Amino acid sequence: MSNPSLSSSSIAAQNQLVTWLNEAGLAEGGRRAELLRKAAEVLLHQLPALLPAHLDLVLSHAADKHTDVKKVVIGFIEQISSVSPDLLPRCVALLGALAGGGGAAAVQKRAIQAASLVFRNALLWLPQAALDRPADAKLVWDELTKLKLVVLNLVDNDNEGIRTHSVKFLEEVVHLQTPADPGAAPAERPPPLPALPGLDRAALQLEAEHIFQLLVKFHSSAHISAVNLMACTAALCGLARARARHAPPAARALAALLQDLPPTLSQSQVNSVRKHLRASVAGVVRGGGGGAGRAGCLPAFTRLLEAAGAPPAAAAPARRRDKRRRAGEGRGEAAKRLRAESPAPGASSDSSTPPPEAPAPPAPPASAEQLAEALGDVERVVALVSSSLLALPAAMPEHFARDYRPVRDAGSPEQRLQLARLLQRLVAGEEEPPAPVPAPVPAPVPAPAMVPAPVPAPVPAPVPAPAPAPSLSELAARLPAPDEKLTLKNAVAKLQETGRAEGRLLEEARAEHLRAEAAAAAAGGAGAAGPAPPTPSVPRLKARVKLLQLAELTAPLGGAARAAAAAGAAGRVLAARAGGAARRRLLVALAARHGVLARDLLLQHVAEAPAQRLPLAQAWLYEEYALLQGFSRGAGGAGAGGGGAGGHYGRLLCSLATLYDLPDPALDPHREQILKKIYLEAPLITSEALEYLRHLAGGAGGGAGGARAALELLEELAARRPPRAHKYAAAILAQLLSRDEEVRGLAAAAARRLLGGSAPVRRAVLKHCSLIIGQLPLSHAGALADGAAWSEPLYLAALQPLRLLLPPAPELLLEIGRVYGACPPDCKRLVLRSLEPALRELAGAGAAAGAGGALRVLLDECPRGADTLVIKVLQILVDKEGATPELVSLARGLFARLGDVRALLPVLLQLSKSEVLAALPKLVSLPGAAAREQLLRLLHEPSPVSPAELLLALHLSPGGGGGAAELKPVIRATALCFSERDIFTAQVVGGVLQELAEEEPVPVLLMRSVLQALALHPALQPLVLALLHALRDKQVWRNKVAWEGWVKCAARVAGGGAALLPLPGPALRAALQAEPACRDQLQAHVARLPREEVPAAVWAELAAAPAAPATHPVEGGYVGAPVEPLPPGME
Amino acid sequence: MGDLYVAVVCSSNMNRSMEAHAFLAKKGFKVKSFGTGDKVKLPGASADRPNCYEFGVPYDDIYNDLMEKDKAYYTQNGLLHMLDRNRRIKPSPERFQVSTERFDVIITCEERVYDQVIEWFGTRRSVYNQPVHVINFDIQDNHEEATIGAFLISDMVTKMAQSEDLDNDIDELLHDFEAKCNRPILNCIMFY
Repeated sequence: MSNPSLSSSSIAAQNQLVTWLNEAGLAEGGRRAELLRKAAEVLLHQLPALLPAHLDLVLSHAADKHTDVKKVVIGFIEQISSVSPDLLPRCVALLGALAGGGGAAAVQKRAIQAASLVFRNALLWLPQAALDRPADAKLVWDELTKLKLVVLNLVDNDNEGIRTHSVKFLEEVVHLQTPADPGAAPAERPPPLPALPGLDRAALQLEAEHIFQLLVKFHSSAHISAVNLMACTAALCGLARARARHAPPAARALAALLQDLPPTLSQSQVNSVRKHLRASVAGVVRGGGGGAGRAGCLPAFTRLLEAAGAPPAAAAPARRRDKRRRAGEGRGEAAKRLRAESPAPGASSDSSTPPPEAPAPPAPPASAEQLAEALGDVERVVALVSSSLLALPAAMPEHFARDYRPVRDAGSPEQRLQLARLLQRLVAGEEEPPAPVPAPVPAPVPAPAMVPAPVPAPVPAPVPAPAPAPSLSELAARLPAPDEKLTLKNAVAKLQETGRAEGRLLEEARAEHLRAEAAAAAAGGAGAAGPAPPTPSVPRLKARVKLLQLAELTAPLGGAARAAAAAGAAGRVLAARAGGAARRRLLVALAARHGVLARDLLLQHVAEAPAQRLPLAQAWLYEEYALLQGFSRGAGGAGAGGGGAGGHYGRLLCSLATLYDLPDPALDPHREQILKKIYLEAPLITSEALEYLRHLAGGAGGGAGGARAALELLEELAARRPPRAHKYAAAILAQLLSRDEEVRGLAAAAARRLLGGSAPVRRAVLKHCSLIIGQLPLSHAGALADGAAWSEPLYLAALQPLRLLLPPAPELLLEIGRVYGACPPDCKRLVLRSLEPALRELAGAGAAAGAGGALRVLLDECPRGADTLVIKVLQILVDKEGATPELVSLARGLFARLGDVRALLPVLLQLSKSEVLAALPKLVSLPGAAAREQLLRLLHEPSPVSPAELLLALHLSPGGGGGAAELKPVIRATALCFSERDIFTAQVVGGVLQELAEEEPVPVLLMRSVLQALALHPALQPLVLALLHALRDKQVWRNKVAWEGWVKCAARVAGGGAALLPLPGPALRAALQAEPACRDQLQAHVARLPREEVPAAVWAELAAAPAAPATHPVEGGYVGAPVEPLPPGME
Repeated sequence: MGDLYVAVVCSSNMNRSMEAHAFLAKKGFKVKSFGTGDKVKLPGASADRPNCYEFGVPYDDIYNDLMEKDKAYYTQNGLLHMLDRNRRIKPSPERFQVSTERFDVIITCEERVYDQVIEWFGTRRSVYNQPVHVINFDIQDNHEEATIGAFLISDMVTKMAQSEDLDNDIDELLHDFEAKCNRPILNCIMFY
């Protein structure tokens, strides 16, 4: 990292890389994938030195949920395998995990795709690594082995794409694990296998062989999709071209494919497959055939090419290389064309549906020599024999046993030629054979052959004569293996699953029938009509697809006639009480497939005794469902709500469900049971059926009992059918605002349980709750009220579900908070009242359930207008958890944001002194008893503020705020303080007053408090007097309010005259006028003094008669005393 | 299959593939177009004397060349109009066989072109094992058919893009589409 030689550009790249990686950690989904891709690009190509350092970080994204991100990681591993294979030990296991999957199919596919490249690159790296780092090499090899196993199992995956990728990977594995042919071009040679302990090359080769067999088997399975078939064909051709050992089996497999394409392919897929086969085989033939050429199979491939319908020109180059076929090319070609256009084998049974195309133009017949030459090819002979095996009679005919002589020189050229002559005569139609049987002929067979089954000597029996010994085993190999039958069965099962059961069974029945016919013809030995009709295999497959049509097989009755007949039949079957399961099947089939009449009849029958006939009804329901699925797939239109069987299923389900409403007293004990059974066991609940349940749940159908049953049922359905659970949940939730209290309670309880269910259900519940929440600000309670006038009980009822659902779904709280802000005051009050228990429960649930989190989120978010709710929540939290530092800081934040002192109340005692004092003005301004309560808390509980400080602050606060409006609460507060005489003792009060007196300007309430203190604590008289002196020295008469208080105080305190005496003249005069008691005080004081110590002015004042109080301001700033109420407690 | 990478291929990368290219690009698909022929061939003054250009010669140059040769004639037969459209889509015709990009879907407009594409794949060994679906629609090489073809191609590509797992659905998708558009479709899977 700190390499000084790093250029500035690489440092920039490095910085950029780190930024991208960091951002990728934070980004989501597509953006993350993009960033990661860029980072991987830089790592791989610009800064490979940093790969080891950042590898794990990039790989860690493999656990990401997003498919694209995973794909990027896989691509990264893929590139590492080529750029820096030394890191493979660290990432190859991950690739295996991703391929094995569990994740999205796209990820698995990408992983398999990457696996091929990684496998190849690893093989290139391993030999050297085995020397340098044997442990790592071993690890990588083990992981690769596991990876192979994983992919091998994926060949059977349900996803066609994964199969395709697996096939390609397996092809690669076979290619890499099979040693190259001697004399192969260097390009065809795989990298050498490494020398690792425990690595057995022979075993690997054998494994490759097995995989190849698996590919062949997969290729020939009946249910393979067209795309996979093509992928597999290409794989086989690729291997045939690369390795001689694989060429013969590949040729056999391809020939078999050509002969018998999977029945599931449609016409155009057949065309595509044939075309692809042609192209792939042409690829093998082109350029000498590689492995196929070395194996000597080129002719087989050339024939394949011709058989697949390639124009002669395409096959010509290969043919030129085939020396044996050089002679007589013109005629040979004609014969080949004849073969190419000859009827497809195994399709003689399809002669009932001849193709519309004209038969192939007559071609000159092949010569006996050509045929003899063709018989030299083992492949061909095997195909010929195996196809004629089908035509053999079940028992050996008598004349055959009598006439048959074993052939002595079987397989000799002479015998072969003789056989060829016989065949040629058949082909040319020169002579009707004794008992010809139209036999299916595989495509590569020279001509539409007629194999004489019972042939008189010396013509040998088909099996031993033309086929040399080894061909027998091949013959056996061609017969369907048991597991292949199994796959066929699987395919049928798959088809039935997908709803094509009927058509498929029909097809089978028909195929059987035709086989039986053919066998009968063979046994009868009737002269068949010439060569088999020229049915190219393409139209044959088309015909097979057509087989699915019922109309071809039966002459349908008219609609009404059929319905009447079915109804009649159903009636008769119903009348016959015996029969058990067979009877039930018949009834169900009649009702489900044959018209309205039978249906009505059966429904009526069920309705007569629903409890007893429920199994029948259910069987019928399943049948309708099967039809529904079949039609929806076959016709691609009729859905569950549409016409046809879809409608039938829905209607039947509704009819069965509504049996609940039958006014039959005998039914009462079973009603709910039947309803439950029908709903729980129905394969599909249609929306109408759900609607009925909803209707029941509303209490409309069966009263409270019905509602309860329906709600229970809905809940159970939601639990049992998770994919549609949200719909059932919605039906339950609709009852949350039911007018019936019991229903409402049941629904709320059910909803509460649903909240614990799967994510979609929970979402549905939450969504519904949001709806209710959304209605809160409305002046009427939404759905519950049905337009009724707003009333408290109604509103509270609407809130009830919220109260129940809030504790299990704390995330609702924030939304409630948001809506709450917009509510009118009445609603706010009710919401708060109603939800308080829920909030307490939520706080009680604690942080474990995330409930505390939701409360805190609300505090953080603090929606507009929801101050009271938020503060309530804070209060509740503090009550539950105590005033933790976190809550205190939350409260501070709230106070700062809202400016509402109520936010501080819960944590008042935990605040700092300065904060309490700062909040004091607002605190005392709180309405009602709140202020009093808080003050008492501050006084009586351990508080950050001492009583003296509190009182001091109270006195100083009106000055700070400076408004008369704030004065009253402060007065109330000081009064409260003074009333607490246990706390505010004379000593405390005295201290406070002393401190206050030193304040400048004089606090507004000082004198008021002095008066109060004087009244409450007479012991403070000397102190008060001292205060009066001090204030006088500060020219207290300049402050109107204080002056008034001073005067009153002077009038009341013992020895007040001493304070009055030094006053300047006008002030003294005003004091005496305002408070007559002052005069007495002054006189008493003066009387104790020697006369000369009293100023003359004082005497003059004392002598003057008491006057009316002055109402005008006096010079020197003196203001006359207005009438001021006495402080509380003084009256 | 979030963003499908599509190639439309015809023989000269002039009419059919360009019409589809324009259409798909307008719909927001990631698309390129190619030709598979040896040369870009355009109808000339007589049937036996077509105008031939190398791939890579800009549409603009071809336009000017034809303009010089016979403006009235080539205006009347629509060639100039087509070239004018093409030069607004991309600079020059491209040959499929020299492209190094890897597509998800290749759509060919003619069976011969399909064969050439398949053959090209057949001549190279797959390295990345990345599958590509090759699909052929037969579209006649004239203006009207090209328009209809582009419409169909766009329809099909839209369906493909909507598929969550194209590899899994392709058989069924093409089967349905074939029934709908009533044209034979060839398809196969190849590997890059």
